[in-house]
Amino acid sequence: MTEQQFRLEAGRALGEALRALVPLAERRGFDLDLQDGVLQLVFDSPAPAKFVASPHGPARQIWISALGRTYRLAWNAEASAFALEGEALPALLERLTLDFLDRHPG
Amino acid sequence: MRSFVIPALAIAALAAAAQARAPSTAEGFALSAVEGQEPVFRSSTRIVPVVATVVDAQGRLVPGLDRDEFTILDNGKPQEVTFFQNDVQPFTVVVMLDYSASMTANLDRLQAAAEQFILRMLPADKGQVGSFSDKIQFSGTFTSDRDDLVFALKDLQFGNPTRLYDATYESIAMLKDVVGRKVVLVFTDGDDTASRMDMGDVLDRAKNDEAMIYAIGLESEYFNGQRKVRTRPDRGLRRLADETGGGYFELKKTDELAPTFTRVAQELHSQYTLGFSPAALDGKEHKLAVRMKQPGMTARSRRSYIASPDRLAPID
Repeated sequence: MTEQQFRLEAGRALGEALRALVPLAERRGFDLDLQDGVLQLVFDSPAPAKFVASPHGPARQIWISALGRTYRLAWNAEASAFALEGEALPALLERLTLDFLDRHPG
Repeated sequence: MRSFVIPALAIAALAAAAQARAPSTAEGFALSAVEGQEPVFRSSTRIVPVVATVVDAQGRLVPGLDRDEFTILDNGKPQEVTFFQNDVQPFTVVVMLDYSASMTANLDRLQAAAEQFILRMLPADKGQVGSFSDKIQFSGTFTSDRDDLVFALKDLQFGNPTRLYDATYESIAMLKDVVGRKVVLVFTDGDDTASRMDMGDVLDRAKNDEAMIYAIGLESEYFNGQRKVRTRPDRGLRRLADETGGGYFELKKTDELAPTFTRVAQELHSQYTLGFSPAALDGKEHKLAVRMKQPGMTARSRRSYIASPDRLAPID
């Protein structure tokens, strides 16, 4: 994958992840922000926290920084998606979000 | 003083490699193990850590290479690479920004660009932000909390003269007790106008403390109340970056700020850590270079080290 292809696919994937997370964000009350190619999930409650998903061009990966860990998602050509061990970006972000919200049931 | 931490797993790997080959290290190596227990490594072997950034002919970062791709030269002589890491390692950074009068019109863009760097810090990375003008300010303590760092960016104060070298020197000093990779990321749009320290002082301190300096310089134009003034970034910055294995980026437009801060974050997450055991610990400054086997690729790294047992990380 060239850098230009990566940028296009990463931008598309982050946009799709944002759209996929909107219903959950509305239901559970957290903010989504996609700016300059960086997707942020911002939680005020149950505890202040921020998840950040950003493209890492040199590695051709999308990196998620959340809950004190880093997740690196590589391009899966068969699935046409960025994924980590078969879990695509929107699904992984949703799982991490639910983990976080359910661990802090407010 | 130990100035670089080699993770325990890597030490074990290094020990295995050292055991497998003839005792060619500076002071030999010994291994003892009791059956059923973890082996105990006893050694006074010293290792010279070398952080390298690899780019291709187009200047793009190249991550994920193997050890065999690298050659380390110590005073021009090839060394065996006895330590190698190509996965992401945490860093501790001081992001030091020029908040002098010439930056007034561009401050929002500079803050937004610095924010792009901060957002890309990983959970294990730590940083603090600072500003310089007639005064030098730091946000306080090193933290992984990106929100705190972004908030601190907006709390820094303006002034007039540009104490670039004092600020860079003090940033290195802030990193003094940090273990692991130490980075100063300094931004300026002009020459130093008021420092007590000069470039040589900063370079000596950076070498001594094994801190990498990344510098972003911006050409800018501003109205000083009487006329339009054009500034160029201080020329000493490139040398600081080159000598310490960091990077120098000279920009002509503020549009380039955010991509450049992003690039620095990506670069810090794409570096290699190599190590070798020097043939002699003579207490002198040695020239260092990293060469790539693949044509078209180049590696940047610090250009010297002091071959003294006091300054090199022991493996024990």
